[in-house]
Amino acid sequence: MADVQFNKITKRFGDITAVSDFSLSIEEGEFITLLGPSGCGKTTTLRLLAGFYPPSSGSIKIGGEPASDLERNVFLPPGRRRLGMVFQDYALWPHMTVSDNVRYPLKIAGRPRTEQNAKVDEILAIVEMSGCEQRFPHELSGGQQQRIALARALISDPRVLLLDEPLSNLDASLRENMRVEIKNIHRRLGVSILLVTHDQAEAMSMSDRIVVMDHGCIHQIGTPEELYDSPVDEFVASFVGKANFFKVRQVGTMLYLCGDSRSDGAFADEEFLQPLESAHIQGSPVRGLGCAKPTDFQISRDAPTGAHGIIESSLFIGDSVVYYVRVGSIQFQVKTEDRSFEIGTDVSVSFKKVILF
Amino acid sequence: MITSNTHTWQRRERVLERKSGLSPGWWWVGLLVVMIVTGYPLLQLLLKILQFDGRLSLESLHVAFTGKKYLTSFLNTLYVGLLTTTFSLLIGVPLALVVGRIRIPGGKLLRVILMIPYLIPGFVFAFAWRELLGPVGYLNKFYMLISGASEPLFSIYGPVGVVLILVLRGYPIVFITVIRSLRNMNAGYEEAAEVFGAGSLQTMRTITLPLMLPSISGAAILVFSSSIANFGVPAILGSPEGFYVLTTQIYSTILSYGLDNNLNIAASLSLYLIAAGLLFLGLQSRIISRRSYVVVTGKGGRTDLAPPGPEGWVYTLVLSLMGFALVILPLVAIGLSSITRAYGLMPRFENFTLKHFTSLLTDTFTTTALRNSFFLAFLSATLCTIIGFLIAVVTERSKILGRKILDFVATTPRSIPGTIIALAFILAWIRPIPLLGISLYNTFWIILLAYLSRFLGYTVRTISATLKQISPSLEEACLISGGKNWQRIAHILTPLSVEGLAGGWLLVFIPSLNELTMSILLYSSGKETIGVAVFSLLQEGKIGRAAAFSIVIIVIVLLGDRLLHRVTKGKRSLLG
Ligand SMILES: Nc1ncnc2c1ncn2[C@@H]1O[C@H](COP(=O)(O)OP(=O)(O)O)[C@@H](O)[C@H]1O
Ligand SMILES: [Mg+2]
Repeated sequence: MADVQFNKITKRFGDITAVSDFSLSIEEGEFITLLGPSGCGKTTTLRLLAGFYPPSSGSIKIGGEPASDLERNVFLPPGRRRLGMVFQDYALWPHMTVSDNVRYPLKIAGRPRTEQNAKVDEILAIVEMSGCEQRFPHELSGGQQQRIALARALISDPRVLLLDEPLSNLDASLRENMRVEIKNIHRRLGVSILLVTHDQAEAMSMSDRIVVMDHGCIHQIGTPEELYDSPVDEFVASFVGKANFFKVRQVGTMLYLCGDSRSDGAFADEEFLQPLESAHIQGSPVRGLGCAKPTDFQISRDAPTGAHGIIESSLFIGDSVVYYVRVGSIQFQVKTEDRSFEIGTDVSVSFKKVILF
Repeated sequence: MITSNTHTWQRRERVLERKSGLSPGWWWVGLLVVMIVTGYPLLQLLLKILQFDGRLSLESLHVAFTGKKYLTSFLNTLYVGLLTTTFSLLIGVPLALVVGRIRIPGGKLLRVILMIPYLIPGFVFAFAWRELLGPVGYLNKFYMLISGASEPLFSIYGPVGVVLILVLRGYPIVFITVIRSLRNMNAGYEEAAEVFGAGSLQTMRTITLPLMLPSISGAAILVFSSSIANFGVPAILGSPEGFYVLTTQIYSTILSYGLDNNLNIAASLSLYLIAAGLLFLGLQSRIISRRSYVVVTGKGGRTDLAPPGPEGWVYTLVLSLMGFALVILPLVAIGLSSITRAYGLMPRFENFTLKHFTSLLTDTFTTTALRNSFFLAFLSATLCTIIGFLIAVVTERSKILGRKILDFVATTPRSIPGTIIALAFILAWIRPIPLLGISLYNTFWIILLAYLSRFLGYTVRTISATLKQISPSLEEACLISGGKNWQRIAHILTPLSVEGLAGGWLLVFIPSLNELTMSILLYSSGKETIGVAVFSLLQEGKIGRAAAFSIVIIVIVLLGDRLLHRVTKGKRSLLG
């Protein structure tokens, strides 16, 4: 049974439609990420689930029970939804000690003091913050505050843990650590997680499934692999990993390149690309917008097929090199482990894979 | 079916939306109380303007706008306001530019001394100056003693004295406003001018002053409106000479029991001040909203002061002389009066005594006044804090319709002169409350209500500012942890706004404790306050005791300000 079900949720703020026709079900123990650029309605979706405001239409079920359902006039307040939430600014209460912060949900629920203490000890051990009980939040580092916020969100065994850009306030190295940490907690406690982020790397590395959003609408829901390998549209392709976009056209059994993604696809600066059968095309190849990841290219000095290109510049990034290769009017980013190409070298460019939209 | 549902959905969403803010059920009770406490008396005041001989008429207005003495008091008010503003600017602006830009030896202490006149209640400071420069003031006596003249050198009574004291209370306002925006001003503007070879005087004239113009005009408006609203100073230094301004004219008209329709005429007179007040309120909010994106950038302010050159000592000398003549001397004078055995005696050691101070604690008149004032101040500060907190919570956190009106009604009386508030309260409560049959007039409670009305705005503003600083996520974290709205207030909002609550409390307590303007119109026998007591003692010629009482007030006020400074971590004190 699904833990959370969004059913055609729409949320309007005056004239702005922040979330539009949003449907999603989160399975028990699943780690789901809402991914999209800032302002696309991720936080609003999360807050709709938390019950900070009602949806304009649609309904939300938590654990099979309606939580927000205007048609049935049901609206559970946030505190009765059995959710844990880590806020972007952590929202630790500055006037309470770590221990008081973490125990607060239990205190509100009226649990006996001994149970509170035991739970606090247990949860602080899980987030590796034992021994900090009597400190105040301002005496902790950003990463430590994050752990305490996690502990507070987890202490009353929530059905779903909501994380709103939890890592965006941390510096890069700490962010890596916390990713692993959150994954570990997820595995250990088996709690469902709904994470919000605009960082695709974060989404890809942590989630079971990703929901890609833009302007309040869902573009695609899928596993990280699905999103990477078969994005359904240009937006998803551009947001999940870097991609080269260009216009292509099929002439007979050949694939032609006809300009960058903004061009009208006329023949003017058309450039021969490669025979169709060697291009591994997804989508109908008559004419359209092509998309290829930097790793989807093959460049060589002397291949018989392929378009003619010139290496314009290169970026050495450790395990591989990114070459900027000009083919006609377009500059492709090509990533390969072959470091031997010099700037100015003539190469032949062909695709290992192209996606056509 | 869907279309018929859409409407219901939207309504339910709106209702829930409103509930999702903090929507306490008592919000309308608070609104009602505030409306009655402040709105109803002011309404009565407006009604009285349109009555004469108990009939609907414009006669009161006619009298107030044409009667010779009324017209004179209006012109006098204008005169006092304009002169006070001009001189306050002439002193305050240069002072701020010097103290804010150049490191002066002893600058901190000098600054504290020069700000003292603003803290001390106007009537106390006027009294102090009277002791220095009244016809038998120490300076005049000293002058007559050495020159053998039979006439005093200068008398503080009359328009000059009134303006002088008001200027002394006005320039600190200018100083504080200007120095604040000087602090926030991006030093880059000035430095850029200096890079292009502008001299420092030239920089000040072409860059600094124009940038400061909005805050200077804001301060000017503040000085003008607070000086035309002042009652204590013209009452002590103007009225004895027959120099009346609107506030004192309204006061004496209210007390002219023999004059027919005196209250109607007084109400009509107050129209001048209300109109001026509203005008300035509007001007001020316009200037403030413009200023926000002109000068104040927050970052890049200049904190480093220019190092003291040899001219630093010149400034020290000038400011010390100023502080000595304008602040220390009058305080010494009133201090001497408080320890001199009988009024008029020379300040010699054998004439000194502490009996005036001890009598404060033994005489029932003064002990009653002390007790009354402390009681009133405590109650009004506490009630203002509680009500102000609730109103601030509603205006800052709820999504209830009408919350803006609530804020407006609660904070407007702050900018209405006390004399007018008192008049409105007399008009509203002079007759027993209908249905209940209780009369508030001549009781303690009418004074308390007037204080509440006048000072509520201070706590609402202070606490609102504090609540604005509290991130909403702290409260949401409480809600999602299972907290109810009352727990959100009790566990999160209240402890986090403690600073604002304590600051607001003191901000009401201190002015309530030495309030004169409203108390003098609303008190009845046995209900005297400290202000009323000092004023009466002064009228009765019991100068020594009045002076001793004033010293007590000064000490309380200075201590109170220190406390405020500490409680609000320097955000709300004057003496830096
Ligand atoms: N309480 C609100 N009132 C009005 N508009 C809002 C409110 N909350 C969010 N919005 C608007 O809804 C849109 C989505 O916001 P949000 O969900 O915060 O985006 P994200 O978290 O993806 O950056 C934005 O255009 C934002 O301005
Ligand atoms: Mg967001």
